[in-house]
Amino acid sequence: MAVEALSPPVGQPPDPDYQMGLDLMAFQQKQRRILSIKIAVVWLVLLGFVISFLLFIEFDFAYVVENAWFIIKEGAKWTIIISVVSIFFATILALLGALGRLSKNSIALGISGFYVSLFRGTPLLIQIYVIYLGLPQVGKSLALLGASLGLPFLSTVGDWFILTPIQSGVLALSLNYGAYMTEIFRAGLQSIHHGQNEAAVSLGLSRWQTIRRVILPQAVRIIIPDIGNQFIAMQKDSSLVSIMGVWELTYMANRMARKDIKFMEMFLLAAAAYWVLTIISSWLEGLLEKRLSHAYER
Amino acid sequence: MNAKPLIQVENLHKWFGMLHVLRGVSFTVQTREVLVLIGRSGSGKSTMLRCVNFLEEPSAGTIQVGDVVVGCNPGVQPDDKDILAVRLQTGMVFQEFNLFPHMTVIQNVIEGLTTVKKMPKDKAVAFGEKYLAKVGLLEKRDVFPIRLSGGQKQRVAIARSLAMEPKVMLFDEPTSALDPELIGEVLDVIRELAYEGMSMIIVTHEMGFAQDVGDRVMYLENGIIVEEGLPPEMFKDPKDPRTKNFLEPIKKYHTL
Amino acid sequence: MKKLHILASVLVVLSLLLAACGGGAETPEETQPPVEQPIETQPTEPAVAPAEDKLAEVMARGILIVSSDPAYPPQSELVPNAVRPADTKCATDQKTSAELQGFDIDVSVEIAKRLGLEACFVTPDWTLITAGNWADRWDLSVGSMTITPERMQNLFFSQPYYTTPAAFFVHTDNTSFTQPSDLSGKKIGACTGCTYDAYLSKTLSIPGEEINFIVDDAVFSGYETDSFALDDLALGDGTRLDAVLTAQPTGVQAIQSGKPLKQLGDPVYFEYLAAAIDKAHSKDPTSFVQKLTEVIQQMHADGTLLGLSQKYYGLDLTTAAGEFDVSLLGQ
Ligand SMILES: Nc1ncnc2c1ncn2[C@@H]1O[C@H](COP(=O)(O)OP(=O)(O)O)[C@@H](O)[C@H]1O
Ligand SMILES: [Mg+2]
Repeated sequence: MAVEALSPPVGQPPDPDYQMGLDLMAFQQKQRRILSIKIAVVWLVLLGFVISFLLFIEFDFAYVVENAWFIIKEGAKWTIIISVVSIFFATILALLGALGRLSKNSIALGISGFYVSLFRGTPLLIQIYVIYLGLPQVGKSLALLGASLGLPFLSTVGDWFILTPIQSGVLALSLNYGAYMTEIFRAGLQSIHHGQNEAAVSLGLSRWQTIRRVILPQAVRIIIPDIGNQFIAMQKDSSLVSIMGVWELTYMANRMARKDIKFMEMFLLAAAAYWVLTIISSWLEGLLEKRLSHAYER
Repeated sequence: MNAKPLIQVENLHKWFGMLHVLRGVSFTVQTREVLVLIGRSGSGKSTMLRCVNFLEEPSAGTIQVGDVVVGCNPGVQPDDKDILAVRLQTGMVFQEFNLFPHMTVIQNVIEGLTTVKKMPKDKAVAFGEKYLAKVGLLEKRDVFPIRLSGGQKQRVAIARSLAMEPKVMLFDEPTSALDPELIGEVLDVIRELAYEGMSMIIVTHEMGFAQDVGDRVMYLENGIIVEEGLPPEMFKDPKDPRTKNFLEPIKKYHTL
Repeated sequence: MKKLHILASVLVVLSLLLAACGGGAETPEETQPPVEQPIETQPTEPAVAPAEDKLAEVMARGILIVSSDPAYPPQSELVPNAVRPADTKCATDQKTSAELQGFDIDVSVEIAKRLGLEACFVTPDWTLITAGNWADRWDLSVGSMTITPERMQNLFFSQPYYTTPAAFFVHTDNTSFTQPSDLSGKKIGACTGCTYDAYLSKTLSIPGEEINFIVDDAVFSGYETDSFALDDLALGDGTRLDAVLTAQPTGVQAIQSGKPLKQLGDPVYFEYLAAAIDKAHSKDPTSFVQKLTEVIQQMHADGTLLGLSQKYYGLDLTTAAGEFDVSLLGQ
């Protein structure tokens, strides 16, 4: 913006008041700079409060420095892997769920409605327990059925139901967040003006082609910030998989704290690590949003 | 004129809930004919046009476009294949343009060719460029719609429809959303099409233009075709009092 | 029972098919598990579930998968910055004995060694271990688990490898009590709802053990945790409490940290801590449990366990466990 304004417009007679425009731009720029300096100061003051809080509770900085890398290397790795994989599957589920919710097919409507209701209506922790503890029992029943019917392959199928902690965690997080995000996707798809749909079908595009080529690309741009929010929430909810013994951030911090009786140190270290992760995520989300907005910039 | 009309609509009814919007409309469009549809706001013009290419599903009636005949009755859903066949023969231009904002101008124009007709990309682009040139916007080829003026958008939308090579073009108030100084460029494109012999149904409030390009005018009121005739006669001397009522105040402000 | 099984399975298969046909957006896995069945059906249906041997499976595999939650030092805790041995046979989602340490870990490694196996660890939450139904994810728990009647419903127990002795502690100033039976009618503190509470109210029952309730009519003071009770006792002899009943290691630790307390007499009863094996393993665990008991008996007999107990607790917590008659559990 600023750069454009500094060179006189081409192909037009020079404006005698051109300097006035330059002065205004410079003034606005200065005001913006002052604002960001002030904001930075506020951040620093607030950070100061946090640090003085740490001093009050006799926070053992040396201990944290000594152990931070171990906790973060092992813990953040799993937190990131689990959340990234889960948000991927959740997005796919959400898309399918939203298409189901918007379809006129009774089976699709029924399944998607039931899915959203069930997985939004029950706690994530219980879903994790049910998937981790309950699914293997389903597999076992299948194997028994296979044995009694003389279908040995059912016992192989039954083994698929025994999920590792990470698989269980990813499945639970994907299903749970997929249910929430179904509603986000649905709202996003519905927010696209119906004229887009009409123009597409007038050209002869099928319903699915219309969604894939016309509606979805526009909806995604609107949905991206919400997906970003869900991703941030998921990073923190991923700590629930620690109950199955996955050594992610919260688990590492908790077990280390128990070992050395350094609870505040470890919890605040984990909190800081989550914070940094979410800041990085927001930044990435911003980049993505910008890329997708390319077509909408004048 | 051909013996067999390009479009033949018979006894078309459309209900929105308990609102009876089209009450048994019948009309024909011959090949190379330009039919102009006029009427008050809310009289059912858009609905009628949209029923022709099944953007709205007719509640009852028969619609024939080219060789495809679709009979509609309450409780009977028309076949998807027939609907597609009708849509491939009709090009629709909307009041609000409805360009795809995430696609460049050329991508907009070739979307139907590549996705529906499965035309190879390079061939589709050549095709699309031909029609962009026709509406005078070839140099905007790689621009996103947001950088176009309203008139330019509507011309791209026309090119997008023309690229599919339909047998008939449907225009629903193509200039109503435009600033006055931009209307002319769009009407010029449509006029050009008319001279080339494109069959069209045009809903418009531009009476001068209607008289200029129209082969026949139809006045719709409350879902019924009140009167139809040749443009000069109908505008100068409408027979039905309802048509007179509608045209009188318009004539005051426009020299026809 | 069997019919229910088949019904449940048919439902699952149907829902799988439904999902597959309907263009399957959603995973069908939310089916409710038939919760109470596997334990009961397992033994009664040898014909449908061919009895393979758990021990044979473990021996063939070459690693012993042990569950241990490293949340309880000094039994099990993390080793910061540990390096995994390059030649380990443990899977990537299992921990090696280098990455964990503690009494339970040493015991696990020793058991594995005597079976000619490598010990590999998984670290599920304590509730998941005690719940049973491990789905063959791990072979046994070596997690200082007390043998209780409730847990015996889901789990088999080996010969206990150590004990938690329950002992009375009094203030150092006290001279009037010489043995636990002197505490009848006195003010005694303990944690609420734990075994010490049950002992004082004479409702405690421990599988395989005859308990002598030698203290009558104690005036019970309940505490959130044992350490609060010990703090109150340390205020002075009889100030708030006359005695506290708690785990011997807990009391000893309090004394070592400088509290003016002393142990009164011998432990009054023992809680037995053993390796646990899921009853719902898909393979027959009988000989596996038997083998574990043999190995642990050996480890008692040659003093290995006593040495580990001295190393981690500075106490003999194992002798009573070696004397325990595991056949009394009737499992
Ligand atoms: N989708 C719809 N649902 C309900 N009523 C509609 C719908 N579309 C149009 N109508 C109603 O049908 C009547 C005719 O509308 P329309 O065909 O758009 O009129 P025109 O184009 O002549 O202004 C109006 O009363 C309008 O409110
Ligand atoms: Mg209209």
